[in-house]
Amino acid sequence: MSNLNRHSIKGILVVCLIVLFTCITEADEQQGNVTGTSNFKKPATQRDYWPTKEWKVKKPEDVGMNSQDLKKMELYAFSRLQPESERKGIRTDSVIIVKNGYIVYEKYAGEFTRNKVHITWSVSKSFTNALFGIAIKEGKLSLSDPAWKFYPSLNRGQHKNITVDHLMRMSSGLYSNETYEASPLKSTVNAMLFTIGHTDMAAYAASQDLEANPGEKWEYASPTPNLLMAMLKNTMSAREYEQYPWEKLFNVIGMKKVVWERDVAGTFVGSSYIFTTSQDMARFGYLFLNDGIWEGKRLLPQGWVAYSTTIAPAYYTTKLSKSDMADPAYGALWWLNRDIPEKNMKRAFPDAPDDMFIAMGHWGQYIFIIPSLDMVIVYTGDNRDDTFNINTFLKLIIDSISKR
Amino acid sequence: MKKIMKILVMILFIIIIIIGIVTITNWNDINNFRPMVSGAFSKFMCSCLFVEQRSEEQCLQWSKLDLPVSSYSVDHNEKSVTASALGKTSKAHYTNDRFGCTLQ
Repeated sequence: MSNLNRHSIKGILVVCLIVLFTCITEADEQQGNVTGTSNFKKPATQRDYWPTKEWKVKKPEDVGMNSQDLKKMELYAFSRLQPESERKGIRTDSVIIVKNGYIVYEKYAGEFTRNKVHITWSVSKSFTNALFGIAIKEGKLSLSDPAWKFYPSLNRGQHKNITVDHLMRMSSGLYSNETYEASPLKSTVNAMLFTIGHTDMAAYAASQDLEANPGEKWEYASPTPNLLMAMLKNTMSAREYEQYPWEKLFNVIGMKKVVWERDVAGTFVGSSYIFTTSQDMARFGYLFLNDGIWEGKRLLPQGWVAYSTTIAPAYYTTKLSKSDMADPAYGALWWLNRDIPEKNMKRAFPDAPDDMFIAMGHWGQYIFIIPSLDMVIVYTGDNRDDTFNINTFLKLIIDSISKR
Repeated sequence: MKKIMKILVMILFIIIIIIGIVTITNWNDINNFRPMVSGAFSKFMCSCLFVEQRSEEQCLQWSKLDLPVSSYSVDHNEKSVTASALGKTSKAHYTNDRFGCTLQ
Protein backbone atom coordinates (compact mmCIF):
# COMPACT_ATOMS: atom_id res chain seq x y z
CA MET A 1 0.00 0.00 0.00
CA SER A 2 2.81 2.41 0.97
CA ASN A 3 4.67 1.36 -2.22
CA LEU A 4 1.57 2.03 -4.19
CA ASN A 5 1.24 5.41 -2.52
CA ARG A 6 4.89 6.18 -3.25
CA HIS A 7 4.38 5.17 -6.89
CA SER A 8 1.18 7.22 -7.05
CA ILE A 9 2.92 10.26 -5.62
CA LYS A 10 5.83 9.79 -8.05
CA GLY A 11 3.36 9.41 -10.90
CA ILE A 12 1.46 12.51 -9.88
CA LEU A 13 4.73 14.44 -9.58
CA VAL A 14 5.84 13.34 -13.06
CA VAL A 15 2.45 14.29 -14.54
CA CYS A 16 2.61 17.65 -12.74
CA LEU A 17 6.13 18.25 -14.07
CA ILE A 18 5.05 17.35 -17.60
CA VAL A 19 2.00 19.65 -17.34
CA LEU A 20 4.17 22.43 -15.87
CA PHE A 21 6.80 22.01 -18.58
CA THR A 22 4.13 22.00 -21.30
CA CYS A 23 2.57 25.16 -19.85
CA ILE A 24 5.93 26.95 -19.70
CA THR A 25 6.78 25.89 -23.26
CA GLU A 26 3.39 27.03 -24.53
CA ALA A 27 3.72 30.30 -22.68
CA ASP A 28 7.16 30.81 -24.20
CA GLU A 29 5.87 29.99 -27.65
CA GLN A 30 2.95 32.39 -27.20
CA GLN A 31 5.32 34.99 -25.85
CA GLY A 32 7.52 34.34 -28.90
CA ASN A 33 4.58 35.03 -31.16
CA VAL A 34 3.52 37.98 -29.10
CA THR A 35 6.83 39.74 -28.88
CA GLY A 36 8.31 38.93 -32.31
CA THR A 37 11.70 40.34 -33.21
CA SER A 38 13.11 43.47 -34.74
CA ASN A 39 15.50 43.52 -37.70
CA PHE A 40 16.95 46.80 -36.49
CA LYS A 41 20.68 46.96 -35.94
CA LYS A 42 22.27 50.35 -35.44
CA PRO A 43 24.94 51.15 -38.06
CA ALA A 44 28.42 50.59 -36.63
CA THR A 45 29.80 53.83 -38.11
CA GLN A 46 31.14 56.31 -35.56
CA ARG A 47 29.56 59.68 -36.40
CA ASP A 48 32.09 62.44 -37.04
CA TYR A 49 29.42 65.18 -36.75
CA TRP A 50 25.68 65.59 -36.12
CA PRO A 51 23.46 67.58 -38.49
CA THR A 52 21.90 69.65 -35.71
CA LYS A 53 23.08 72.96 -37.17
CA GLU A 54 23.33 71.88 -40.76
CA TRP A 55 23.73 68.85 -42.96
CA LYS A 56 27.15 68.31 -44.47
CA VAL A 57 27.32 67.31 -48.10
CA LYS A 58 29.50 64.75 -49.88
CA LYS A 59 29.68 63.57 -53.46
CA PRO A 60 28.00 60.22 -54.02
CA GLU A 61 31.39 58.78 -55.03
CA ASP A 62 32.81 59.72 -51.60
CA VAL A 63 30.39 57.31 -49.92
CA GLY A 64 30.58 54.53 -52.49
CA MET A 65 27.72 55.60 -54.76
CA ASN A 66 27.69 56.32 -58.46
CA SER A 67 26.41 59.72 -59.64
CA GLN A 68 25.64 58.48 -63.12
CA ASP A 69 23.50 55.68 -61.75
CA LEU A 70 21.72 58.14 -59.48
CA LYS A 71 20.74 60.10 -62.59
CA LYS A 72 18.52 57.17 -63.52
CA MET A 73 16.61 57.65 -60.28
CA GLU A 74 16.38 61.38 -61.01
CA LEU A 75 15.03 60.71 -64.48
CA TYR A 76 12.45 58.35 -63.01
CA ALA A 77 11.34 60.55 -60.12
CA PHE A 78 11.50 64.04 -61.61
CA SER A 79 9.97 63.63 -65.05
CA ARG A 80 6.52 65.17 -64.91
CA LEU A 81 4.94 64.04 -68.13
CA GLN A 82 1.32 65.08 -67.61
CA PRO A 83 -0.11 68.62 -67.40
CA GLU A 84 -0.24 69.92 -63.80
CA SER A 85 -4.00 70.33 -63.95
CA GLU A 86 -4.54 66.61 -64.52
CA ARG A 87 -2.66 65.55 -61.39
CA LYS A 88 -1.63 62.29 -63.02
CA GLY A 89 1.61 60.31 -63.04
CA ILE A 90 4.73 60.76 -60.94
CA ARG A 91 4.72 64.18 -59.27
CA THR A 92 7.81 64.35 -57.08
CA ASP A 93 8.39 67.46 -54.97
CA SER A 94 11.70 66.50 -53.35
CA VAL A 95 14.23 63.73 -52.82
CA ILE A 96 17.04 63.68 -50.27
CA ILE A 97 19.50 60.83 -49.83
CA VAL A 98 21.61 60.67 -46.68
CA LYS A 99 24.39 58.08 -46.75
CA ASN A 100 26.89 57.51 -43.94
CA GLY A 101 25.63 60.73 -42.31
CA TYR A 102 26.08 63.01 -45.33
CA ILE A 103 23.63 64.37 -47.87
CA VAL A 104 24.70 62.94 -51.19
CA TYR A 105 21.65 63.90 -53.20
CA GLU A 106 19.09 66.68 -52.83
CA LYS A 107 16.63 67.99 -55.37
CA TYR A 108 13.37 69.92 -55.33
CA ALA A 109 10.65 70.49 -57.90
CA GLY A 110 7.77 72.87 -58.55
CA GLU A 111 7.34 75.51 -55.88
CA PHE A 112 9.21 73.51 -53.26
CA THR A 113 12.70 74.48 -52.11
CA ARG A 114 15.04 73.57 -49.27
CA ASN A 115 13.35 76.05 -46.93
CA LYS A 116 9.73 75.32 -47.73
CA VAL A 117 7.64 73.03 -45.56
CA HIS A 118 5.60 70.21 -47.09
CA ILE A 119 2.63 68.36 -45.65
CA THR A 120 3.73 64.94 -44.39
CA TRP A 121 0.27 63.39 -43.83
CA SER A 122 0.69 60.05 -42.03
CA VAL A 123 4.43 60.47 -41.63
CA SER A 124 3.16 62.49 -38.65
CA LYS A 125 2.27 59.19 -36.95
CA SER A 126 5.96 58.32 -36.62
CA PHE A 127 6.55 61.70 -34.96
CA THR A 128 3.79 60.77 -32.50
CA ASN A 129 5.75 57.57 -31.87
CA ALA A 130 8.89 59.56 -31.06
CA LEU A 131 7.07 61.88 -28.65
CA PHE A 132 5.68 58.87 -26.82
CA GLY A 133 9.17 57.40 -26.60
CA ILE A 134 10.36 60.63 -24.99
CA ALA A 135 7.36 60.86 -22.64
CA ILE A 136 7.83 57.23 -21.58
CA LYS A 137 11.53 57.88 -20.93
CA GLU A 138 10.46 60.80 -18.72
CA GLY A 139 8.11 58.49 -16.82
CA LYS A 140 4.95 60.34 -17.82
CA LEU A 141 3.35 57.05 -18.87
CA SER A 142 4.24 53.50 -19.88
CA LEU A 143 3.32 51.17 -22.72
CA SER A 144 1.41 48.86 -20.39
CA ASP A 145 -0.71 51.65 -18.90
CA PRO A 146 -4.44 51.41 -19.59
CA ALA A 147 -5.45 54.18 -21.99
CA TRP A 148 -8.38 55.24 -19.79
CA LYS A 149 -5.89 56.42 -17.16
CA PHE A 150 -5.13 59.34 -19.49
CA TYR A 151 -8.46 59.45 -21.32
CA PRO A 152 -11.24 58.75 -18.83
CA SER A 153 -14.07 58.21 -21.33
CA LEU A 154 -12.37 54.92 -22.26
CA ASN A 155 -13.12 53.62 -18.78
CA ARG A 156 -16.12 51.61 -19.97
CA GLY A 157 -16.79 47.96 -20.85
CA GLN A 158 -14.05 46.28 -22.84
CA HIS A 159 -12.65 49.71 -23.79
CA LYS A 160 -10.97 49.81 -20.39
CA ASN A 161 -8.65 47.01 -21.56
CA ILE A 162 -7.09 49.18 -24.28
CA THR A 163 -3.47 49.96 -23.41
CA VAL A 164 -1.01 52.56 -24.69
CA ASP A 165 0.79 49.69 -26.45
CA HIS A 166 -2.39 48.63 -28.29
CA LEU A 167 -2.83 52.18 -29.58
CA MET A 168 0.82 52.45 -30.64
CA ARG A 169 0.47 49.19 -32.58
CA MET A 170 -2.92 49.87 -34.18
CA SER A 171 -4.42 47.00 -32.22
CA SER A 172 -6.94 48.76 -29.99
CA GLY A 173 -9.96 47.08 -31.60
CA LEU A 174 -11.67 50.49 -32.02
CA TYR A 175 -13.81 50.58 -35.17
CA SER A 176 -12.03 52.02 -38.18
CA ASN A 177 -12.72 52.39 -41.89
CA GLU A 178 -9.50 53.78 -43.29
CA THR A 179 -10.57 54.83 -46.76
CA TYR A 180 -10.08 58.22 -48.29
CA GLU A 181 -11.40 58.96 -51.76
CA ALA A 182 -12.43 55.33 -52.33
CA SER A 183 -15.36 55.30 -49.93
CA PRO A 184 -15.87 58.85 -48.68
CA LEU A 185 -19.28 58.24 -47.11
CA LYS A 186 -18.00 55.52 -44.77
CA SER A 187 -14.45 56.75 -44.18
CA THR A 188 -13.65 57.29 -40.51
CA VAL A 189 -10.51 59.23 -41.44
CA ASN A 190 -12.50 61.73 -43.53
CA ALA A 191 -15.13 62.00 -40.79
CA MET A 192 -12.42 62.64 -38.23
CA LEU A 193 -10.48 65.23 -40.22
CA PHE A 194 -13.30 67.13 -41.91
CA THR A 195 -16.81 66.38 -40.64
CA ILE A 196 -18.27 64.99 -37.41
CA GLY A 197 -14.93 64.41 -35.70
CA HIS A 198 -12.81 67.38 -36.67
CA THR A 199 -13.31 69.60 -33.62
CA ASP A 200 -12.09 66.94 -31.18
CA MET A 201 -10.48 64.08 -33.03
CA ALA A 202 -9.53 62.13 -29.91
CA ALA A 203 -13.12 62.21 -28.66
CA TYR A 204 -14.22 60.91 -32.06
CA ALA A 205 -11.65 58.09 -31.84
CA ALA A 206 -12.64 57.17 -28.29
CA SER A 207 -16.36 57.19 -29.14
CA GLN A 208 -15.98 54.32 -31.62
CA ASP A 209 -17.34 50.88 -30.71
CA LEU A 210 -14.98 47.96 -30.44
CA GLU A 211 -14.92 45.65 -33.43
CA ALA A 212 -12.51 43.27 -31.66
CA ASN A 213 -11.14 42.76 -28.20
CA PRO A 214 -8.21 45.09 -27.50
CA GLY A 215 -4.96 43.55 -28.69
CA GLU A 216 -6.58 40.91 -30.89
CA LYS A 217 -6.99 42.67 -34.24
CA TRP A 218 -4.57 44.84 -36.19
CA GLU A 219 -6.20 47.57 -38.24
CA TYR A 220 -4.63 50.75 -39.51
CA ALA A 221 -6.64 53.54 -37.92
CA SER A 222 -5.80 57.21 -38.26
CA PRO A 223 -7.92 58.30 -35.28
CA THR A 224 -5.65 56.30 -32.96
CA PRO A 225 -2.59 58.62 -32.92
CA ASN A 226 -4.88 61.54 -32.17
CA LEU A 227 -6.19 59.70 -29.15
CA LEU A 228 -2.56 59.16 -28.13
CA MET A 229 -1.78 62.86 -28.53
CA ALA A 230 -4.81 63.78 -26.38
CA MET A 231 -3.63 61.29 -23.74
CA LEU A 232 -0.21 62.93 -23.79
CA LYS A 233 -1.90 66.30 -23.33
CA ASN A 234 -3.49 64.98 -20.16
CA THR A 235 -0.10 64.17 -18.60
CA MET A 236 1.02 67.83 -18.48
CA SER A 237 -0.12 71.44 -18.36
CA ALA A 238 -1.58 73.07 -21.48
CA ARG A 239 1.46 75.34 -21.75
CA GLU A 240 3.93 72.47 -21.44
CA TYR A 241 1.99 70.49 -24.07
CA GLU A 242 2.10 73.38 -26.57
CA GLN A 243 5.87 73.51 -26.31
CA TYR A 244 6.58 69.83 -25.75
CA PRO A 245 7.22 68.68 -29.37
CA TRP A 246 9.61 71.58 -29.99
CA GLU A 247 11.44 71.51 -26.66
CA LYS A 248 11.80 67.75 -26.43
CA LEU A 249 12.24 66.74 -30.06
CA PHE A 250 12.30 69.24 -32.94
CA ASN A 251 14.74 71.75 -31.41
CA VAL A 252 16.94 69.02 -29.95
CA ILE A 253 17.64 67.45 -33.34
CA GLY A 254 17.86 70.80 -35.11
CA MET A 255 14.60 70.66 -37.07
CA LYS A 256 14.39 74.25 -38.26
CA LYS A 257 10.85 74.56 -39.58
CA VAL A 258 8.01 72.49 -38.21
CA VAL A 259 4.32 73.30 -38.17
CA TRP A 260 2.09 70.93 -36.24
CA GLU A 261 -1.57 71.75 -36.67
CA ARG A 262 -4.11 71.14 -33.94
CA ASP A 263 -7.84 70.48 -33.80
CA VAL A 264 -10.27 72.89 -32.13
CA ALA A 265 -9.75 71.06 -28.81
CA GLY A 266 -6.06 72.01 -29.00
CA THR A 267 -4.77 68.47 -29.59
CA PHE A 268 -1.91 68.07 -32.05
CA VAL A 269 -3.19 66.10 -35.02
CA GLY A 270 -0.80 63.19 -34.55
CA SER A 271 -2.23 61.30 -37.48
CA SER A 272 -1.71 63.76 -40.30
CA TYR A 273 -0.81 67.40 -39.82
CA ILE A 274 2.94 67.87 -39.44
CA PHE A 275 4.45 70.13 -42.09
CA THR A 276 8.22 70.32 -42.31
CA THR A 277 11.13 70.58 -44.73
CA SER A 278 12.71 67.58 -46.41
CA GLN A 279 16.01 68.25 -44.62
CA ASP A 280 14.15 68.19 -41.30
CA MET A 281 12.43 64.94 -42.25
CA ALA A 282 15.92 63.56 -42.90
CA ARG A 283 17.01 64.69 -39.41
CA PHE A 284 14.08 62.83 -37.90
CA GLY A 285 14.92 59.70 -39.89
CA TYR A 286 18.55 60.03 -38.81
CA LEU A 287 17.47 60.01 -35.14
CA PHE A 288 15.85 56.60 -35.66
CA LEU A 289 18.75 55.35 -37.79
CA ASN A 290 20.97 56.09 -34.80
CA ASP A 291 18.78 54.13 -32.38
CA GLY A 292 17.31 57.26 -30.82
CA ILE A 293 20.69 58.77 -29.95
CA TRP A 294 21.53 62.36 -30.93
CA GLU A 295 24.79 64.20 -30.32
CA GLY A 296 25.86 61.18 -28.25
CA LYS A 297 22.88 61.49 -25.89
CA ARG A 298 20.00 59.05 -25.68
CA LEU A 299 16.79 60.84 -26.66
CA LEU A 300 14.52 57.82 -27.11
CA PRO A 301 14.50 54.99 -24.54
CA GLN A 302 16.91 52.09 -24.91
CA GLY A 303 15.19 49.54 -27.16
CA TRP A 304 12.58 52.02 -28.43
CA VAL A 305 13.59 51.72 -32.08
CA ALA A 306 13.63 47.92 -31.74
CA TYR A 307 10.12 48.08 -30.23
CA SER A 308 8.95 50.38 -33.03
CA THR A 309 10.33 48.01 -35.67
CA THR A 310 8.93 44.81 -34.19
CA ILE A 311 5.84 43.53 -35.97
CA ALA A 312 2.70 44.23 -33.97
CA PRO A 313 1.62 40.92 -32.35
CA ALA A 314 -1.98 41.30 -33.57
CA TYR A 315 -0.67 41.69 -37.12
CA TYR A 316 0.24 37.98 -37.13
CA THR A 317 -3.21 36.84 -36.08
CA THR A 318 -5.32 39.22 -38.17
CA LYS A 319 -6.78 38.16 -41.49
CA LEU A 320 -5.45 40.96 -43.66
CA SER A 321 -7.30 42.50 -46.59
CA LYS A 322 -5.79 42.39 -50.08
CA SER A 323 -4.60 45.99 -49.84
CA ASP A 324 -3.11 45.39 -46.38
CA MET A 325 -1.25 42.39 -47.82
CA ALA A 326 0.28 44.64 -50.50
CA ASP A 327 1.46 47.16 -47.89
CA PRO A 328 4.54 46.71 -45.72
CA ALA A 329 4.12 45.07 -42.32
CA TYR A 330 3.41 47.19 -39.26
CA GLY A 331 5.33 47.89 -36.08
CA ALA A 332 4.47 50.75 -33.75
CA LEU A 333 3.49 53.75 -35.88
CA TRP A 334 6.18 52.69 -38.37
CA TRP A 335 5.88 50.48 -41.47
CA LEU A 336 8.30 47.57 -41.86
CA ASN A 337 9.71 46.08 -45.05
CA ARG A 338 9.66 42.57 -43.59
CA ASP A 339 9.17 39.08 -44.93
CA ILE A 340 6.63 37.29 -42.73
CA PRO A 341 7.02 33.54 -43.23
CA GLU A 342 4.33 32.91 -40.58
CA LYS A 343 1.82 34.54 -42.94
CA ASN A 344 3.52 33.42 -46.13
CA MET A 345 4.07 37.08 -47.00
CA LYS A 346 7.02 38.56 -48.86
CA ARG A 347 8.21 42.06 -48.09
CA ALA A 348 6.45 44.89 -49.90
CA PHE A 349 9.59 46.27 -51.57
CA PRO A 350 11.66 43.24 -52.58
CA ASP A 351 14.63 45.24 -53.90
CA ALA A 352 15.13 47.01 -50.57
CA PRO A 353 16.65 45.29 -47.53
CA ASP A 354 14.39 43.66 -44.95
CA ASP A 355 15.62 45.93 -42.16
CA MET A 356 14.16 48.99 -43.89
CA PHE A 357 11.45 50.78 -41.95
CA ILE A 358 9.32 53.57 -43.27
CA ALA A 359 7.21 56.54 -42.28
CA MET A 360 4.56 56.71 -45.01
CA GLY A 361 2.08 59.46 -45.82
CA HIS A 362 -0.83 59.99 -48.21
CA TRP A 363 -0.09 61.04 -51.80
CA GLY A 364 3.56 60.02 -51.57
CA GLN A 365 5.39 61.26 -48.47
CA TYR A 366 8.11 58.93 -47.19
CA ILE A 367 11.06 58.62 -44.85
CA PHE A 368 12.90 55.38 -45.66
CA ILE A 369 15.44 54.24 -43.07
CA ILE A 370 17.85 51.48 -44.08
CA PRO A 371 20.26 50.69 -41.21
CA SER A 372 22.18 48.00 -43.13
CA LEU A 373 23.10 50.61 -45.77
CA ASP A 374 23.43 53.45 -43.25
CA MET A 375 20.89 55.40 -45.28
CA VAL A 376 17.95 57.72 -44.89
CA ILE A 377 15.93 58.59 -47.97
CA VAL A 378 13.28 61.30 -47.93
CA TYR A 379 10.66 61.61 -50.64
CA THR A 380 7.83 64.13 -50.88
CA GLY A 381 5.35 64.39 -53.69
CA ASP A 382 1.79 64.71 -54.83
CA ASN A 383 1.15 61.32 -56.36
CA ARG A 384 -2.59 60.96 -56.81
CA ASP A 385 -2.47 57.66 -58.69
CA ASP A 386 -0.38 54.48 -58.52
CA THR A 387 2.16 55.41 -61.20
CA PHE A 388 5.00 56.02 -58.76
CA ASN A 389 6.51 52.67 -57.86
CA ILE A 390 8.32 52.75 -54.54
CA ASN A 391 10.27 49.57 -55.24
CA THR A 392 11.55 50.92 -58.56
CA PHE A 393 12.56 54.20 -56.93
CA LEU A 394 14.43 52.43 -54.13
CA LYS A 395 16.04 49.94 -56.51
CA LEU A 396 17.45 52.75 -58.63
CA ILE A 397 19.02 54.30 -55.55
CA ILE A 398 20.33 51.05 -54.09
CA ASP A 399 21.72 49.98 -57.48
CA SER A 400 23.81 53.15 -57.48
CA ILE A 401 25.76 51.87 -54.51
CA SER A 402 29.03 50.32 -55.65
CA LYS A 403 29.37 46.58 -55.28
CA ARG A 404 29.27 45.74 -51.63
CA MET B 1 -45.21 51.37 -77.99
CA LYS B 2 -47.47 51.46 -74.97
CA LYS B 3 -45.85 48.28 -73.70
CA ILE B 4 -42.34 49.80 -74.00
CA MET B 5 -43.50 52.92 -72.15
CA LYS B 6 -44.96 50.73 -69.42
CA ILE B 7 -41.65 48.87 -69.03
CA LEU B 8 -39.66 52.14 -68.97
CA VAL B 9 -41.94 53.57 -66.29
CA MET B 10 -41.55 50.38 -64.27
CA ILE B 11 -37.74 50.53 -64.56
CA LEU B 12 -37.77 54.20 -63.55
CA PHE B 13 -40.00 53.39 -60.60
CA ILE B 14 -37.66 50.57 -59.47
CA ILE B 15 -34.61 52.88 -59.79
CA ILE B 16 -36.34 55.55 -57.69
CA ILE B 17 -37.27 52.95 -55.07
CA ILE B 18 -33.65 51.64 -54.96
CA ILE B 19 -32.23 55.19 -54.65
CA GLY B 20 -34.77 55.89 -51.91
CA ILE B 21 -33.82 52.75 -49.96
CA VAL B 22 -30.08 53.44 -50.31
CA THR B 23 -30.62 57.06 -49.20
CA ILE B 24 -32.74 56.09 -46.19
CA THR B 25 -30.38 53.31 -45.04
CA ASN B 26 -27.34 55.59 -45.44
CA TRP B 27 -29.02 58.79 -44.29
CA ASN B 28 -26.70 59.31 -41.33
CA ASP B 29 -23.58 58.83 -43.46
CA ILE B 30 -24.93 61.12 -46.20
CA ASN B 31 -25.86 63.82 -43.73
CA ASN B 32 -22.51 63.54 -41.96
CA PHE B 33 -20.74 63.67 -45.30
CA ARG B 34 -22.27 66.99 -46.41
CA PRO B 35 -19.66 69.26 -44.72
CA MET B 36 -16.85 67.04 -46.07
CA VAL B 37 -16.24 68.97 -49.30
CA SER B 38 -16.32 72.47 -47.81
CA GLY B 39 -14.33 71.30 -44.75
CA ALA B 40 -11.60 69.56 -46.71
CA PHE B 41 -11.32 72.33 -49.31
CA SER B 42 -11.09 75.18 -46.80
CA LYS B 43 -8.53 73.27 -44.70
CA PHE B 44 -6.46 72.27 -47.74
CA MET B 45 -6.44 75.81 -49.10
CA CYS B 46 -5.62 77.39 -45.74
CA SER B 47 -2.63 75.10 -45.12
CA CYS B 48 -1.43 75.33 -48.71
CA LEU B 49 -1.55 79.14 -48.77
CA PHE B 50 -0.51 80.10 -45.25
CA VAL B 51 1.59 77.13 -44.07
CA GLU B 52 3.25 75.94 -47.27
CA GLN B 53 3.10 79.47 -48.70
CA ARG B 54 2.37 78.36 -52.22
CA SER B 55 0.62 80.42 -54.88
CA GLU B 56 -3.18 80.52 -54.99
CA GLU B 57 -3.11 78.93 -58.44
CA GLN B 58 -1.06 75.97 -57.19
CA CYS B 59 -3.18 75.67 -54.07
CA LEU B 60 -6.38 75.54 -56.10
CA GLN B 61 -4.91 72.68 -58.14
CA TRP B 62 -3.77 70.87 -55.02
CA SER B 63 -7.03 71.38 -53.08
CA LYS B 64 -9.40 70.41 -55.88
CA LEU B 65 -11.77 67.61 -54.87
CA ASP B 66 -13.92 65.25 -56.92
CA LEU B 67 -16.98 67.24 -55.86
CA PRO B 68 -16.54 70.98 -56.53
CA VAL B 69 -17.17 73.77 -54.03
CA SER B 70 -19.93 76.23 -54.96
CA SER B 71 -17.88 79.18 -53.68
CA TYR B 72 -14.79 80.03 -51.65
CA SER B 73 -13.06 83.12 -50.38
CA VAL B 74 -9.60 83.82 -49.00
CA ASP B 75 -9.18 86.50 -46.35
CA HIS B 76 -5.50 87.42 -46.49
CA ASN B 77 -5.75 89.83 -43.55
CA GLU B 78 -7.37 87.34 -41.23
CA LYS B 79 -5.51 84.44 -42.89
CA SER B 80 -8.55 82.28 -43.32
CA VAL B 81 -10.36 80.39 -46.06
CA THR B 82 -14.15 79.95 -46.22
CA ALA B 83 -15.76 77.49 -48.62
CA SER B 84 -19.30 76.31 -49.38
CA ALA B 85 -20.48 73.05 -50.92
CA LEU B 86 -23.52 70.77 -50.67
CA GLY B 87 -25.33 73.44 -48.68
CA LYS B 88 -22.68 73.61 -45.96
CA THR B 89 -20.07 76.29 -45.24
CA SER B 90 -16.73 75.69 -43.51
CA LYS B 91 -13.89 77.94 -42.43
CA ALA B 92 -10.24 77.18 -41.72
CA HIS B 93 -8.20 79.75 -39.86
CA TYR B 94 -4.42 80.22 -39.63
CA THR B 95 -3.19 80.60 -36.04
CA ASN B 96 0.58 81.11 -36.16
CA ASP B 97 3.81 79.67 -37.55
CA ARG B 98 3.79 76.75 -35.11
CA PHE B 99 0.19 75.65 -35.16
CA GLY B 100 -0.77 76.48 -38.75
CA CYS B 101 -4.42 76.15 -39.73
CA THR B 102 -7.39 74.69 -37.86
CA LEU B 103 -10.74 73.80 -39.34
CA GLN B 104 -13.27 75.66 -37.17
